[in-house]
Amino acid sequence: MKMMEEMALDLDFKRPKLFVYDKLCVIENVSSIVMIGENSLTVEADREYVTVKGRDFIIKEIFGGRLLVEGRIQGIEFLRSQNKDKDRGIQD
Amino acid sequence: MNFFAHRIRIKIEGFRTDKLIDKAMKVGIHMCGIKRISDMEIYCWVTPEGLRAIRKEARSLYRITVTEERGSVYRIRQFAAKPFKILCSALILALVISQSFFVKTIVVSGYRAIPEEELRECLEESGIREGTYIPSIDWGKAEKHIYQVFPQVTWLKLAYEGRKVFLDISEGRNREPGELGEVADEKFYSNIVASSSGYIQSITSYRGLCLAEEGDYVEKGQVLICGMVPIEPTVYGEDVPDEYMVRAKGEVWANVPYRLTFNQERYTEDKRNEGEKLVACIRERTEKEVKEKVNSSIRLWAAENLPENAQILNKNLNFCYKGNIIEIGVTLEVRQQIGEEQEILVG
Repeated sequence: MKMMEEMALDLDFKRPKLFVYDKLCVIENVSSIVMIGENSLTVEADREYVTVKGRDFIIKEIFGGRLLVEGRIQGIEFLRSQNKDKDRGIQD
Repeated sequence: MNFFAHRIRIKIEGFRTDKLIDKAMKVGIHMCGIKRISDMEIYCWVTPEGLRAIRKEARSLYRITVTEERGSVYRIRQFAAKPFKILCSALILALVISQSFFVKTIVVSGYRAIPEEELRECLEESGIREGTYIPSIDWGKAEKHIYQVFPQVTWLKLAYEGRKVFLDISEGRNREPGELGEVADEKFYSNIVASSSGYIQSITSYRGLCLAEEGDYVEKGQVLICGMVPIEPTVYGEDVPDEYMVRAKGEVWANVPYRLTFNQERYTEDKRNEGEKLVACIRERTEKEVKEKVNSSIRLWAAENLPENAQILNKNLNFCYKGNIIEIGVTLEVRQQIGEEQEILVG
């Protein structure tokens, strides 16, 4: 990866950024929490929805658009919507 | 930091609790440990400011219940709210601090011949005992006093650590008179030994350990009263002595047999005047005469050889005629004190 591309990714404060470890997941640039389910957590970031699937979730910390999720992580899904308002309407 | 100072665990109940969490995040409320129990119930930790803000956001749509509070500031506030607790704590603290100024125990070590009790008594005379106020102790004076009372102490260390006072001494040979001013060397450690062989009649120990009993036959030089007395250490330690030394003192009376031999002339010359003539006649000595002379010889011998308080209990004479000589074998049973001091050499 070129340095410029790397810098562009680091300095991108809109698109969702995820760091996933064994039992820990850090999601950055979160604009809103869409749903906290029994086996999933869905957040929105820049018209993209990120769903972390798993079990026994505890949101360790929420502060400044940053989520720290602890639990058994089984999968991550990205959903991109064409129309933000429409998508939101569906979710609600 | 604010979170650690005071944090509150709340229970949020209502429809779509995740929406309230979303709102709270957008407002900028710091939340931790969000745990979903069901669709209608969520637990999370917030700061007091966060709780106020979240209540504002929740309005009447959600029910928020405080379940637990933690944090150092919270604890202090809780504690400060109860003045009786503060008073008790201050009292206990004052008690502990004040107790640390008083002597709790005195540890004496290094002694060999001086009994521990005497050293403790000496410390007491200097004002050092259990319960003494430590800053009021004159350590220099106490050390000087120990040196004066026990001249055999060559070195000592008197110090305290916490509430314990330590006295460590080193003993040496007693000093000679005049070596330390007026302090005379009156003490040395000794045994009482037999000055002659005999049968013990009575033994009384004033100081020291009796090693013989009444009726025992003891040889000359045998230790009768020992100056090394065994002790049971009262403190735990590796170098604690198992005996201490004293100057043994006591009375030992014994029946001492003596065997003597005296010789006398068998015949004697009697002279008598018969008118103007001097007639000499030789005759054999009578037993009475021999006995008288032997008795006088025994008295002379006793005056020269026996101690003043000796008492002759039995006397047996045995005559043996050898030509013109009578050999008298005398067996005496004398009651006398046979104890004499013998210094114990240390080292």
